[in-house]
Parts: sequence; C-alpha cells; structure tokens
Amino acid sequence: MSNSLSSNESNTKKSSKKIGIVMRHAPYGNNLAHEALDAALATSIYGQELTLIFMGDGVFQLLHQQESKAIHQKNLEKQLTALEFYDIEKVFACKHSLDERQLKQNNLSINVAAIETEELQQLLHEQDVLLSF
Amino acid sequence: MSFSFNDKIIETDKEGYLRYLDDWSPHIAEQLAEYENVTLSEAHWEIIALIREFYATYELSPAMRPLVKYTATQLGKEKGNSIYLMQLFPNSPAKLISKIAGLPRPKNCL
Amino acid sequence: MKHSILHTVNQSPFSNNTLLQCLNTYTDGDGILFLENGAYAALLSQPASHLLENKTCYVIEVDLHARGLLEQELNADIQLINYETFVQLSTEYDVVQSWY
Repeated sequence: MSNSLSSNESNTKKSSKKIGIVMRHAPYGNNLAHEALDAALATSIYGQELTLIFMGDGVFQLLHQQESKAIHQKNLEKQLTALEFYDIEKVFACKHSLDERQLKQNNLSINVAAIETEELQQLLHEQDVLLSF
Repeated sequence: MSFSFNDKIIETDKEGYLRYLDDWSPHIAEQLAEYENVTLSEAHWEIIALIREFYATYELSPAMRPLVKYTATQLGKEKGNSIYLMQLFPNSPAKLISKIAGLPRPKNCL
Repeated sequence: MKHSILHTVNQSPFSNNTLLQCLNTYTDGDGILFLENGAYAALLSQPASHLLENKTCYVIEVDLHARGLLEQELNADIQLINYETFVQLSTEYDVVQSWY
C-alpha cells in the first residue's frame, strides 16, 4: 500500500490520473447529482482518464423523461446527454442496482455499460482517485 | 451591476453576464457585444444562435472543447474549430459567446 | 494496477443499506472505517454484523463513546481507533471511498 507509482505505467502516463466519479444518490432531493456532473465536466477539461460510475439510487439519475421545471431545478437528463461533447465516454452503471429498481437500458437517457458486481469491484480498484457523490 | 436599455434596467453580474436570462434579445446582444468591442456580423450571429440552441438542449453553457465539437457536428469542421471561433470571439471564445448570447458563464472554463 | 481502498461509512446500518453497498465493492486488502452514525455498525446486534467477519474494520472510538456504545456488546473484529490513526490509515491505503 503506497501512493508512489511503482508500476511501469508511471513512466508513460505520469500526468494522467484515473479519476472515478461515483454517483450514489438520486437526483433533485439534494444537490449531489449536479455537483457530480460539475466535477465530471470540470475534470474532463484537464485530460484525465475519467470514469463515471452510477450505483445504488444513483442509477435513478439516468432515468429518461425527467421534467424538473416545476421544481425549479435544471434538468439533469438534458445535461447528461451533453457528456458526449465533453469526451466523457466511460460511463458505467451497477447492473445489480439497475435490476433492483427494474430499470432497463431503454428506460435510460444515455448509453451506459451495465456491469456485474465483480467488474464493479475491479473498476473501483483501478482508480487513482475516487470522488463520491 | 446594470445598464439601461430602452428605459429598462438590465442587471448583470460583475463579469457582465446577464443576471436574468429572459432579458436577452438580439438588441441586448448587440449592446453586450459593444461592451466587449465585438461588432456582430452574420458569422457571429450564426454562432450565437448555435450556443443558444446548445443551452436549450443541454441546459449547460459549453466550455471550449464541447463548443468546438458541437459546432463541428452542426456546421461542419470549417467552423467547428478553435481558430475560427477565436477569430470571431477573441481571447476566450466560450466565455465571450456565452456572455453575448445571454447565457450563464461556462462553469468549467480554464 | 489494483489499488487498496479505505471505505468510510457514516450511516447507521439499522436505517439504510449504505454498508451493504459498500460491502458489495469490498475486496481483500481493503479496509472499512466507521465514523459518525456509522459507529452503530460496531454493535454486534446490527443486521450486517456477520458480514464483517474476516474483513479489516475500524471504528472511531470517540464516535462510539459519544453515542453510549462503549458499554454495549461490540463486534470484537472491529478495531477502535482515534483520529490520528484515521489520518494515518488514509495515507496507507491508496484510495479513499466515502459512503454517505
């Protein structure tokens, strides 16, 4: 357990860190979902290796047909569909969380890779930094 | 901060972005552009319309990279590149275009 | 390269499944640190107690003390630590993931 990069990766990708942004909370009840998106968009500018991971109630952020005008909040669904223009392509969702909530890919506003628990574990343990929202 | 336009007070933040997005009109855009020493041509208006369309679709003011990418998909690569946008809107195009187009300051701009 | 994760949990296992979500991502070499209301996870009576067997777990002692938990029946597998050890742990593990 050490923070120094000792693998041969360190020579080739010195400045690039793997940053995982973990979204675990449903949108609108608090500001976490929007803060996570802001963090993702800001991080994308610095050319880091960015991965978005939706799990738990966080997968509700991905639901389509959101209409938030009447509660005076920005529409998270619309904002998520802009991710492609920010070159954020690594977007994963915990399959178990989706299944638990009976959400299918055609209920979602953007394309995500639904991953099994084992892949989720692997993905989290690959990151150099985890930002949890 | 504020300026008056046709007897109406238009409020801005300290960087000059409109406080109320509904205040925007093409005339206001011309006024905002004048403050930034930009004279709006057809080419400028095309980009202003484009960024307003981006905002209406995604509820975000785009930073430079997404703006370039979006412009390229909508208007082609000749216009969807940073040099073209810099020529029209010097220094910091994403911020300047958002300001003139009456949108919030892009949050994630260098 | 596989990194080790220090998971921090600040929610009571009696009121929601935050701890279960955390355990879902735990792998060998990780640690779980309970703080604030997460301290209730140190009770032997909590629903996920048996799932903490063979896992490396810590709890902030002052959070136990504050809640009157020191005299209760505690899970012996969980190490009581102070804030200094917390800081030390967060440097020893590669990454910190907070579950809240």
